[in-house]
Amino acid sequence: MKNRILAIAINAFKESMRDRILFAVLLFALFIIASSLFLGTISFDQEQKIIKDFGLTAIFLLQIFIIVFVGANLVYKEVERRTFFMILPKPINRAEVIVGKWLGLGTTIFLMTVLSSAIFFIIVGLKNGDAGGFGPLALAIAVGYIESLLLIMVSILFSALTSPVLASVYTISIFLIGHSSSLLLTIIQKEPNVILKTAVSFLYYIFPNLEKFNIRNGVIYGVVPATEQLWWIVVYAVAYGIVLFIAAKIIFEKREF
Amino acid sequence: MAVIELRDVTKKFSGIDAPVVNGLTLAVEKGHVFGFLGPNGAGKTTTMKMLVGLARPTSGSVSVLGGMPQERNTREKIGFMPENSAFYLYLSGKEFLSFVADIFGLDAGIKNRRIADLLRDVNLEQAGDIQIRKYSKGMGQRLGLAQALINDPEVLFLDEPLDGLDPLGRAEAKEILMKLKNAGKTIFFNSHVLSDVEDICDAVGIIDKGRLIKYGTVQNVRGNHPDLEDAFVNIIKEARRYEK
Amino acid sequence: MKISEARKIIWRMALFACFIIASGTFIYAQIAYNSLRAHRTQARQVFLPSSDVVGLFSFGFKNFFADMFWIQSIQYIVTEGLLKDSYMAEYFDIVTTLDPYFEYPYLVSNILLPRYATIQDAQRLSDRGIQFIPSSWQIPFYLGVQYHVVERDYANALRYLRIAEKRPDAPPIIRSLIASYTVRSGDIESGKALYEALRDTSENEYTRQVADAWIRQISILESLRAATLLYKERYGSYPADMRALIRAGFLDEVPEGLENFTISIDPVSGFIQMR
Repeated sequence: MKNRILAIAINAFKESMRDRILFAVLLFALFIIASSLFLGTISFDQEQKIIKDFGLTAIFLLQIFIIVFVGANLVYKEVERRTFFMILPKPINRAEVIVGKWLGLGTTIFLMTVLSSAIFFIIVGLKNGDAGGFGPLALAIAVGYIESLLLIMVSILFSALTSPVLASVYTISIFLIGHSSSLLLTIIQKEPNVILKTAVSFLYYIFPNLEKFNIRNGVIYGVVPATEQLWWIVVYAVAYGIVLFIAAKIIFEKREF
Repeated sequence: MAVIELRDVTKKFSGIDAPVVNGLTLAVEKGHVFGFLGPNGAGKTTTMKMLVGLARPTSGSVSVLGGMPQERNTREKIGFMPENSAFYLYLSGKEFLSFVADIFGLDAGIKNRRIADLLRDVNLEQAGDIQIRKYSKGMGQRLGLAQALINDPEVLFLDEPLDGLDPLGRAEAKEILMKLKNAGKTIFFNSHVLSDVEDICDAVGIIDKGRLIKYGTVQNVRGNHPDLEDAFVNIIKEARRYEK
Repeated sequence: MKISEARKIIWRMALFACFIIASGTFIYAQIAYNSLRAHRTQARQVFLPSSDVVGLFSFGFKNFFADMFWIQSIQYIVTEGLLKDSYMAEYFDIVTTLDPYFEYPYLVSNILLPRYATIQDAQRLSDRGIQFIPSSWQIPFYLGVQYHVVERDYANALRYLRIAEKRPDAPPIIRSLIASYTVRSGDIESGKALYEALRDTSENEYTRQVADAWIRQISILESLRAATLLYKERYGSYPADMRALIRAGFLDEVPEGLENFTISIDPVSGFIQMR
């Protein structure tokens, strides 16, 4: 099983690394990081904060864009080009294909994250002159990466269901809903109607709550979540990822070609 | 002993009233080469997809080597070459075969030897390191055949294996198929090139509009017609006239 | 030349002419439009969503948007922010809603808003900053001082200075200001006690000297109060000012040390306020 998954993963990694969108997105992220150097100079002595905020945002955006634009094609391209006709009749489970694709794209995003983070840390180091704040920043990037691993599975799920355009739209929608969980919570708390409250509560728990992975705001000020909180974040990611994987497996196994 | 069995297999797609495959029953003996013939849209490819696990029958049963095509054990022993094989174009021929071999879990030594042998057998030895996107259609077909053989399968499913090949390529492909037949492999293939079917097949089945209308040895199916192609055309016409 | 060829050439020339005319026309139209807009006085147009809306639609990019709005607000301050009815308060509101831990906007808003908008706007923002940045003594301190400088509202000034005093690393000057504002608010006894505590506990020589000077002035004020009470006893009402006390013989002259202050005596309560 390990070899089969690895074979799919290596192939998915190679394919996604060849996608031209990847490098356009990387350039865009580096542009945001670079622009922080200029904007920092007109920020009323807030240069360090601007550079860190922009850098973390750029790295996160890079991850999201790769998932949305490259991830949406992961399964669909294979179906459309019929390369799956070569692969699926081989002794490989569809679940292994999903895991392989997830691992492959996850590796691609990891590589891009490391690359952009290296440039980001160099700039922060040169501007700040000390490496003291690197720990919290690296933690924020790592937790953001965990979020992106979850979103890859979302993207694969939609890619197995529909065209790349719609898969991208749905993935973006999940991302936006996931980061608007505070709005749902507010509605739940303030809504007097029991039926509506129950319905919104259901939505709140069903949709992934992605805001918990956003520790970027706090690390700028050196505020790092407690270890217990981080563990719960990881547990949530793993559990939700398993749910998504099961859903993707069921959908993909039912799919005929 | 039948290694491929279809029993009353029907396949319907949602939104289409008429079944694409309708009550198909046939069996292929071990070591036989079976040609599955039919006009375009008759249900040949759909049948083949059900045999290799890409699709499931709406009703009836499909059995390959005593097991269902969805089972991993079964798929370890079969090879499949789809029609108009599609590849990862940025890979070279060797890299693609290596990828397929990895899915079968072949050891590195065995894998490399097999890849070298297969590339030589399909006459792609010189093109092994070239990216597939630079291959001609004939080269692609040959690579498709090679990947179907990577695991030394007991049963081979080939969808239009001779399509796009020039006469020399066809002759070489037929030679490979005869070699495989002599080695005791069972081969199930679709083809439009009926002269080649006549040369290598032990049995043929003719399908039209999802129904098996003729099935038997090449001689039985050809009957009194001068060749298989003539028999094929007349059998189809007869079946359609009878239907009306 | 054949007719068809001639026609082709004519069509091409006509097309080329059309192209040139159309290009010239749209360039001229743009120039005319720009000229027209330049002559009209433009109403200031700022599209600024409410802070709640911005927060709602920030989708995990709160800090980034906070920084973008912060940079925007700086540009706005330089261009229009110091004009009447500007949106400075709204800008700072957005920045601090998105990133309530961002200290600098609170400080800048405390400096600018009391003068160029309202102190209530500054207070609203500062209350948020006080809640989210418990380590900052500057936020309540700046606001407290502004309440004294701009509004002469000692109740609020003291309220915020007391908050500042309790913050970690609060500098000793805050205690000194609390004492000063207490006296200026009319609570002379409390002010004197505060200055005595300051004099007795401060490690800074200058602070002790200042405290001493205030204590002396407060003593004088206490004498003044006694004089106003005597005046009331005799004349049935409190004196209007110190000159009345001097004329009535209760004072020989304006006491030394009070020359730089405006002393007002409340005609109803006799409360002496020193500004």
